[in-house]
Amino acid sequence: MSQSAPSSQARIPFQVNPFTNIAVGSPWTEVPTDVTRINDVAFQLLWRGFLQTLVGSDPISLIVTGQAGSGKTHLLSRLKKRLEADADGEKPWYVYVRCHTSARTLWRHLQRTLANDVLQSSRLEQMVTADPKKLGKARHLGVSRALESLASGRHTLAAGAWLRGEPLSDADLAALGIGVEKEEEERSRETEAKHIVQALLRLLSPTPVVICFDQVEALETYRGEMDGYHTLGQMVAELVNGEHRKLLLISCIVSEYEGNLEKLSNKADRDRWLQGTATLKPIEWEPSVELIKSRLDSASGLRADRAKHPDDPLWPLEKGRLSDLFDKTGICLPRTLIQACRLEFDRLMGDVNPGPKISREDFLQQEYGRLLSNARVEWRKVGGETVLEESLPWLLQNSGMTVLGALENSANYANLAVRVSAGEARLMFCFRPGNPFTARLRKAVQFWSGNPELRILSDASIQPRSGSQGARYLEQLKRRGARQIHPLPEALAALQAIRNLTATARAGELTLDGEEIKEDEATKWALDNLPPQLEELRDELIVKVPDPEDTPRTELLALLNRHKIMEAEAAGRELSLSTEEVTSCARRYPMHFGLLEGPPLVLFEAVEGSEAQAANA
Amino acid sequence: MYELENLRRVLEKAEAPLSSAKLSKLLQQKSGKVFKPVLDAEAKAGRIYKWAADLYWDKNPTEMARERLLTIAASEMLPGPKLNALAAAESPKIGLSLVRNARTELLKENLLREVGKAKLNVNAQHPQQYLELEIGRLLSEFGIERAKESIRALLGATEAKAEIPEVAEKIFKAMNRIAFAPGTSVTFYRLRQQPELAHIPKLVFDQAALRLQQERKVFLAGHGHALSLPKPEQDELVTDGLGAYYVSICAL
Repeated sequence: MSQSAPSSQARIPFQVNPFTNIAVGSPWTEVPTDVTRINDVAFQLLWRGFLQTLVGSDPISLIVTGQAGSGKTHLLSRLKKRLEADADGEKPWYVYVRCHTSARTLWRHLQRTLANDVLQSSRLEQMVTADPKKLGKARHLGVSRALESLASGRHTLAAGAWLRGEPLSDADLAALGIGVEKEEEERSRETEAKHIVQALLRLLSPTPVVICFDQVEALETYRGEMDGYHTLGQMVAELVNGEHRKLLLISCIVSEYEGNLEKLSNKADRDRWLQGTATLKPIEWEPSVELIKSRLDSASGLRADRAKHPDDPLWPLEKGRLSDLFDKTGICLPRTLIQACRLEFDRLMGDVNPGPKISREDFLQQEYGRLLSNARVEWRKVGGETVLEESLPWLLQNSGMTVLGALENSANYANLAVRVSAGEARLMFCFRPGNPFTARLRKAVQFWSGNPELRILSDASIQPRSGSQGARYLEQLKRRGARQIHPLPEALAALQAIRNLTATARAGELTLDGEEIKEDEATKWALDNLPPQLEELRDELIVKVPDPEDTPRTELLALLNRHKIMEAEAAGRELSLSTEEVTSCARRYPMHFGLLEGPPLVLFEAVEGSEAQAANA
Repeated sequence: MYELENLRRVLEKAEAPLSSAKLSKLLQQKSGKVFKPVLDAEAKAGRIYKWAADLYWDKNPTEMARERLLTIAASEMLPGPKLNALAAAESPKIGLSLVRNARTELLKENLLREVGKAKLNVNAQHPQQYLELEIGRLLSEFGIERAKESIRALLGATEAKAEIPEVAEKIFKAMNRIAFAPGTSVTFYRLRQQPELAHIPKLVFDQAALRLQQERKVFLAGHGHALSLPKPEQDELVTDGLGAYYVSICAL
């Protein structure tokens, strides 16, 4: 579009810019305006799909493709609104799944979002209260017990957390009447999540359920990974073949990743997944005028002035400045148009000091900082194991290692197989204390012979108690050459934040002043600015030779995790180490330990930013 | 869940169909005998393909038989039984009856044509060899002798004339034919697999697709990180040669 210097004279009074909202973050957030003729063909396909699920007896799966900024999430939002307003009979359930997850954690992610969305209102509790016999339909003891608790108002927080798959203490599980996992009951958490999803869907049946998988391309935990598409294809096929027969599944994917769906080797899954597709296209000038007009009409501060220009639907914007966008192809992406309108509107409000222009690097730092604050609180809810499964492949792949996925020959004890320069290694993630941890260690003792290398990534605070069976297994593994690594909470939060940053960039939703920041740029920035805790984790994963001082550090970490702060001398006594040994260990790892020079010398657990608040909470 | 994923991965990497014994070894299953019913069930569900009583692969033998028949027929005109036998014998071998059925289907779809008394098979998308012979024969019937090079030049000239507008038309038709519904996108990866477009030089194909966009008949969806893709994947995209890459096409 044509550029000109900002006018020093304001044409319109300063007010909220109606074009500020450029992208719909999620269908659960309020959409400013909706012009239904835009992307109507695609919408009609979805709506027909929904109507078919109402009258038919087979689930339907549809794909929506389109360039970043073409309105995919907006379309899902429109569908949600229409379902709430128009659906005859009982209102359908609406579930929105942003695919910021991985092939290895997809069912857990669906469990979390399904439970989250159906528990947003008290509708499910009311349903159970009105007819407790319905719980029998779930055919899942845990789901029944959790919903009984919710309906009766007892242990509601724990019940909700359990349904979402969040880690719970043994006491909470006992309170809900859900058995504490026995050592011999170790089973795949993904399988368990699948059973819970299926149980919830059985319970919701026959009320229609619409599940929208958005940003499917984010399933690539690193560029080019195909496992996520295969797993989502399998998941959709299983849902289509499942017991809930009034299911509408919608998957949205950015055009440039669309080809990956065609490359799926499993034709049966692909056919179930791709039952119909809709493509969102850029819009022509006429609907664009309608879109701009609807946004301008929503600005209350403009109403009186706009009434004076009844023949100019775009007033105060100038047609010439916007129609340039359509010159070349006659069409323009809605987001590009709204962005141009936003800048134009700002210009018309005059020389309001916009502040210094932020650089792309500073913007990325700012975005990362925002995501990191959330991640510091959120990662504990999803669990360290899930964070590592979803986000570690990115770090590994971008640090010269090759992710081999979860290989069959080590799947019963390892979460991930990688190839490093020195050869292959297996990674095992342990962040659930007690029996689950012991069970994982037992499996490793049973199935891991000492080759390839094994690295146990675990939370320092859940180290098995000395003399316990878990401690014996761990000792046995270490004797065979396994190494234990303790990723710091800050490293896990950083991994999750980077994952969200790059996934947002991949979806085309990371923009600064209308200019898109591509995934490559976001990835490069993240690699150039890795926090030291993450660098440490990367280095520990790459280095072959174990650190000889590893043992005191692990023990000291576990001790300080329990006590938070204690005198160095007391710590030495507990660990049967000299005070010098304890303090020298603390000095070597300043990211793990804080040291207050005394006398007396005091050690404390080093915790970053709002992680400290999260830990205290 | 990962068992199936690993099975798929192993089959994807395999250069030929594998027996249940081999697969059970690669996947560390108890024994081929025990594992065979699992594989048969996967094949029955359409998730993998059975190539013989105890041979499995992730590639569809029917699709492969079709490809072989078309490839051979593009370079050599052969009677049906001979063509079937050659296609079946290529490694990995495909059952003759399956190849026969595939050829019958190709004839029905007019992708293969039987010509002359000998019923020689011609690839309808690549008929140059047949046309060359037939034009030569017709000319000689009327006492006109032309060198093979002249006839080839004539056929080549026809192709050259047809180039961009005709290819654009072919792209447009193929796109509308294979799109899920009118106005839905088709990736260039899939479009280029269509027999009538597979042999078109990339430069011509790309220019034809761009021409359709200039004529505002279609919309091409851009690819934001094409330059970071491996070369073979980059080549699956359409480019204007000036840095813009496109991944899919859909009718406006």
